[in-house]
Amino acid sequence: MLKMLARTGTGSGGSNAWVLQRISGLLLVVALFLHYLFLHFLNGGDVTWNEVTTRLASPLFKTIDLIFLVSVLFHAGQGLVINIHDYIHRPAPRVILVSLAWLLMIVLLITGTVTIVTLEPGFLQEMQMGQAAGVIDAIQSQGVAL
Amino acid sequence: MPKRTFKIFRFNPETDSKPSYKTYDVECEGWWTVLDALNEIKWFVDGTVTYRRSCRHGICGSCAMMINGKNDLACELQIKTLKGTITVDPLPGFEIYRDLAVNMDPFYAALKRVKPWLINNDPYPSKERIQSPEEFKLMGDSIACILCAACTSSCPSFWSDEQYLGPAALLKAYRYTFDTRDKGLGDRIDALDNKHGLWRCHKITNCYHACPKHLNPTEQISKLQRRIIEEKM
Amino acid sequence: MASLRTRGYSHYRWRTGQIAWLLHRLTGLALVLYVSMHIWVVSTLQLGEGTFEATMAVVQAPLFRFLEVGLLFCVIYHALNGLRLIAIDFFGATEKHVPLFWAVIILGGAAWIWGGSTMIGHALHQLEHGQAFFPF
Repeated sequence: MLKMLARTGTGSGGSNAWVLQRISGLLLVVALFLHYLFLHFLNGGDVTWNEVTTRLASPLFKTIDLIFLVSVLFHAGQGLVINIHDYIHRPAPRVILVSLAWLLMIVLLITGTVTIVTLEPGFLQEMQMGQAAGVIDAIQSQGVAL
Repeated sequence: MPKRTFKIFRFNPETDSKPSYKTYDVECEGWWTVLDALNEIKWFVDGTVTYRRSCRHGICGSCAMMINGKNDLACELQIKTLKGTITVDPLPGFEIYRDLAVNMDPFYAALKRVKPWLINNDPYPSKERIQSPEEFKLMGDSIACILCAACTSSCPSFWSDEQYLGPAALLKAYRYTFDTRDKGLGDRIDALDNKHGLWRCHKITNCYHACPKHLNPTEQISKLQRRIIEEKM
Repeated sequence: MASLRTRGYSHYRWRTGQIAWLLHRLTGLALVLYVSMHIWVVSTLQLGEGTFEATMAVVQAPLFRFLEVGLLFCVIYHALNGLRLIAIDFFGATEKHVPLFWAVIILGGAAWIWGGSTMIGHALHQLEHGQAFFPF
């Protein structure tokens, strides 16, 4: 009984990763469906600078995209680790490969987070004040194309 | 008396550098099982064919083999259900001792790791430990396993990882974990909650289709996985 | 002797569950490669509108739209089979895992054909308007 209590919450054997893989997977099914819908099918197939920067200026979308990014990278990293554990059993190559997998995910996380976070809300204010002539032109030309 | 062709895997590590198949044409009775045909070959055609067998009625588990690419008990599989040439191979994933006899040590070692016995250190009751019919049903079919290794040797996760417990050992762990008289989850959890334990099961379901006793290791492993997660929370 | 242990992959008959698992693994690995590239491409946003639009012009060329049809297959299959796995893991669906696989193929196939044809439609539209197939 004491042994059982001592182990609760440690998740060291892989139970936490197993559950999180399924939770992130479910999140991603929803997120990817919406991602495809808005970025590939409802916008006429073309992704433009304006669309992306306008959307990413909003803190709500920044948060959504960050959650999306973390889910993808956890799910991808854990997927790689599952494959490594299935086929590589000697400790040395296994530890190296698992570390490389998470290193790749961390690099991608940093890259993605910087992209999402550093798009300034000032862009939105410029639009509201109508001072960014280039932005208005771009929107008008997009309106013409539509 | 139908004449059937059997392609049998032959390998003697003491004399052969690599395995081969030997073909035998056998006059069979219509009701024969693969084991009947193997016996016919061994007793009257080629005495060097090596395989394990005992009860010949599907309970001892000795004669599990890969027949036409699928694991089954040779003594239960009737030749009339098989089409064309019947190819008999040893169980995959195990070291081959000779012909169709394999080294089952990793299988038994995995079984030992899940401590397949009742663990209950409470003081003995004055009579038996009572278990209601509903409580008995929790164990399901897991009590019926004959330890033939058809399931574990059909599992790609086991092929890639000899240390993986495999469906049979996990089914045994399920049998005791869901036995209401047992209190040993804490003793078993290290073997189960392990990169060679429960989490190597990816629901490939080969075990479910291979089991000659129609058990469902995939289902019970899922239940055990959920149980371990509940324990961890 | 070790090589004789691996006769499972080469000699065991491949059934639905094993095929589903292999495809799940292959699409998963393809997606890891794709997502890595995708995050890098989108990060060019930081380098300003010019660089972004230039990169987009390359990766939204007809060639890439056709490649995206393959990507769409990977996404749809991996997602739907993932849902099938969750049904097996949490909803006791093992006995129905074969019909579930066919549901994945049929629903997924329909979604793939619908989505893929839209993408190919975009590509053909681009080609009609004189855009080059290869953007290099």
